[in-house]
Parts: sequence; C-alpha cells; structure tokens
Amino acid sequence: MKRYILTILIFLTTQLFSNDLLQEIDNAFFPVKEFEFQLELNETKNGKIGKPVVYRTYSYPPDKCILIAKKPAIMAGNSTLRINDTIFVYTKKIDKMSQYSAKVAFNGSLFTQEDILNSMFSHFYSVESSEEVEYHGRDALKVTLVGKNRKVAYKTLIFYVDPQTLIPIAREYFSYSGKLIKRITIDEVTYKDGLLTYLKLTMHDLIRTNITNTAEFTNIQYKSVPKKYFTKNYMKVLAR
Amino acid sequence: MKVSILFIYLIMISSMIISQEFSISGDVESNFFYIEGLEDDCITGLTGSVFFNYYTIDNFSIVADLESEGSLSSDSSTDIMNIVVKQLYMNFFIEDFICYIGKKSKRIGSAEWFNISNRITPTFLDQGSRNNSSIGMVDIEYMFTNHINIDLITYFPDTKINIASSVTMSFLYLDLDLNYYFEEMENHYTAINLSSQLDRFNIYCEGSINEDYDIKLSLGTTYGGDTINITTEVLYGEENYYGGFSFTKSNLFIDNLTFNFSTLHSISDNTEEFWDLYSVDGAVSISYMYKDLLFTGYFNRSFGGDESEYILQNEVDFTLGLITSIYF
Repeated sequence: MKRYILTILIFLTTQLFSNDLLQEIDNAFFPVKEFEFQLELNETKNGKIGKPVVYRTYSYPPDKCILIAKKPAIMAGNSTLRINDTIFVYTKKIDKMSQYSAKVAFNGSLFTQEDILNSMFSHFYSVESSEEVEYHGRDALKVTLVGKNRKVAYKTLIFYVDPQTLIPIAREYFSYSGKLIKRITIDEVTYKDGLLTYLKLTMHDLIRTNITNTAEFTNIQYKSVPKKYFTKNYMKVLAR
Repeated sequence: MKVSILFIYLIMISSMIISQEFSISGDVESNFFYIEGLEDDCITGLTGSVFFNYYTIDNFSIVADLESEGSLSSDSSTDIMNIVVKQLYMNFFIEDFICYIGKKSKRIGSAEWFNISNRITPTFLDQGSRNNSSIGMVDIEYMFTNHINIDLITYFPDTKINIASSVTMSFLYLDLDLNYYFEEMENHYTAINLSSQLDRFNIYCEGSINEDYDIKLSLGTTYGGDTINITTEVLYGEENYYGGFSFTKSNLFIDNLTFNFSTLHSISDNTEEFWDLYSVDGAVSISYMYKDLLFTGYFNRSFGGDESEYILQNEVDFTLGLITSIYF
C-alpha cells in the first residue's frame, strides 16, 4: 500500500515540476500579458513565394486570441477568435459565423487553427518527458508534450529549447496516428527588456516537402486590450 | 483677427482628424453555358463583382457589394451589362449597440441548404453552390452580455414591413438562437437554431413553427478535414423530405486542384414546395488555381417541376485587391 502511495506521489510531483517547466518555456517565449501585433503569413511553394496575408491580432493569454484579416483586400475583415477550446470564424462578406476545430488548417495554410491562435502550450498540453540532447550540433532540452484532451490539434509535440534561456529552437508535430508530419524552426527572435519584439518562424511540411509557410510577428505593442474584444458578439465590430 | 480665426479653424479641423481605410476586392468571370433543350443552347456570358468596404478606425463603415452580368453573344438581345446591387449598407457602433441600415444579407442558422430558420435572407443554391439573398433592413444588435446578443430587425420585402427579433446565446461549444418573425404585421413564425462543434464535426439543427403549427426541421452535420469537407443535411416537413450531400476535396492528386460534388434529393413525391430554392439535384465542379487565376468547370443537372436541364459551364476568375489608408 505504502509503495502505491509513494509511486503516486512521485508521479504527481514529476507532473507538477514538468508542467512548471512548460509554463517557464511559455513565459520565456511569449508575453504573459495582453498585447497587440501584426501577423504576416507567407507560403513558399516550389521555391516561389506567394502573396502575404496580413492580420491584426490581439492576444489575451492564456487562452484568448483574435485575428482580423487586413490584406489581401478580398479577405479584409474576416476574423478568427479563440476562447479556450472554442474557435469561431466570421466571414464578413456573407455575415457568417462558424465554429471550427483547432485541428483544421488555418486558411488553407500548413498551420492549424491552434498553431496560430495558441501561444500558451501549458494551457492545452502537459509534459510527458524531458531530456538534454544534441540538436543540429547544439545543446538542447527536448520536451515531449501530450494533449490534455483530444480537442487539441496534435497528439504529441516535441519542443527543442535552449537549456539556458528556454527559448524554442524547433518544434516537431505528430498526428493522432503517431506520424511526424510537420516541423517549425525559429528563424529569428528578438527581445527587449525581456519582452518579445520580433519573431519569424517557418513551418515545414514533412510530407509535401516542396511547401513551407512562414509567420512573421511584427509591430508588437504591449498595451491593455479590452476583454470584450474576445467575445463572439464583438467580432463583428472588429471585423473591418 | 484673421490669424486668430484661422488658428481656431485649424484647431477645429485637427480635432476632427479621422483615420479611414478603403478596401476593394473583386473578380471577373467569363462563362460558357450549354443548356439542353434551348433553341440557342449555347450562351456565353461575362460577370463581375466588386466588394467595396470603407471604414473609419473608430466606429463607422460602408459596404457595397455589386455584381454585373451580361451576354457576350453578338446577336443577343441581352448584351447590355446589368448591374445588381447585392449589398449596400452602412453600419456604426455606439457602446454595446451595432446598427446596420441598407440592403444586406443576414445570416441566421448554420444550415447549408435548408435554412428554414432564416425568414429574412435564407441561403439558396445557385448552380450547385450556396448563395445568399439580401434585402433592405434596419438591424440593431445589442450586446447584452459577452455571451448573449439581442437583435431587432425591421425588413422590407415587396414594400411590406416585417419585424424579426432574435436572441443569440453562446456557451462553451453550444450556440443557441431563438428567432421570432412577425411578417406583414400579421403572420407569426418562431424558429430555433442549435449548433455545436465536436472535434472536426459541426452538428446543427434548425426548426420552425408557424401559427398553423406547421413544423419544419432540418438536421445537418459538416466534417471539416484538412483537404476534405463533407456536409450532409436533411429537411423534414409535413409533406416533404429532402436530403442533401456535398463532398469537397482540395489538393486532389496535385496541389491547387479542387473537386466538388453536391446533390439534393426529394425523398417524398411532393417536389413543388421549396423548388425555387433547392432546384439543383446534382452538380460537379473542378477548379484549378494558378497564381491569381481560378479556372473552374461546372456540370449541373437541375430540374424544376417537369423540366430538366443540363448546364455545362466554364469559368475563369481573377481577383483584384486594393487597400488604401487615408487620413484627414
């Protein structure tokens, strides 16, 4: 009996510390307070770069985020809102509000809705294991995450983070069938006074290897964002 | 004195600084129709649409959605381009109120085809794809709480006055709308929508009842995959049953190639009612995107009453876009 209790206690303690680690990784990488930024998505296919899609984005960590498309003009006003596990998409031209799964591709890109709308992994995933490894010739901490429920986009994620700063180097994404399908590499990241000021990352499709998508976070402003922005009703006001 | 007046004038002007933005998008399509049974069974056409959106950063916007269509045939009597105003409205926001005035589409409910809870601008099928009607209205939405919206709409079909009100509620994964219509100030309709997202499936239900207790119910589900979309929907009425199915596959064999198949079937014998809205019984389309050009081929078989027609249509679309900011 004592052995079982001890095992459970060790398991719970490990979980607690592991999830503290994930929270530290989240906090080191993305701001924990609300902020506003511009997101630009680009697709490169067979070496040719497509037209960028630009969004004005408001984030209210840990679980709220809204994107309003600004460019191209044909998409202007279309908005996507995440409130915890629920994702709403508003199409301005036909006044249509729909619910989406976190697993669905974001506007046909390699990114899923979750990749774009989630900045706090500790809210949706828990740590399964962590170990120090060598990743592309440099020391890295390999952290394996599993979804807290089946609503998340991936069954398993592997983070490679810098052991000192905990800033991600790369992430690997596994489907529910257990197959490695995508990889994100952090191309450029800058901080000022401990706060993120610029980020560029690339999503590689490991099945269709001729396609990559980049996401660029610019014009990051740390300021108070009204909580009502993150409601389904207010989406129509912001959708301009 | 003159300098003072000029100074005051400049202050007034500068206090009225408003930042504004325009966005214009549109497309032009050339079409070729083959309709079996017509004397002149080949028709070539040219259609175009422009979506114009002007807004101030603060609280005001104007939307214009225009469409033009005409024939390219030299001997056709309809070679003059017609311009159709699909939507033209302004909207503004004051505190928790949103107000829309003009001709617009009002989306109520989730149904793809059997949009029975929407008595204002229901969706309809247009050569196999869904489309939205529009109507003149004054629509005032009040954000009662973060989860509850109250809507009052006055709309004007055929110069008659209709009034509708709805309460929209959203809790976790469940969306619930309660709608009440008071048509021509004498007929009553009550409608309800329920929809929920379960993983990749969106499940929805629409129901309506009128003062004669005529009940209609539509049930549907949409599966959203990365490259596959499947929708199934059924309509249950007092005398008629309809079933709809749609399958869309993007990246078919190669990137940028999309295949769509949709069909609607009357399960009962009564095919008279709803025929204007649900007349396509089979449509296949294949589209290919190359840079900014979208090439689409349609094959539709549609029939109404005793007639049936086959439409073979080719379409080339290109889109244009412009966003400009101006500051006064």
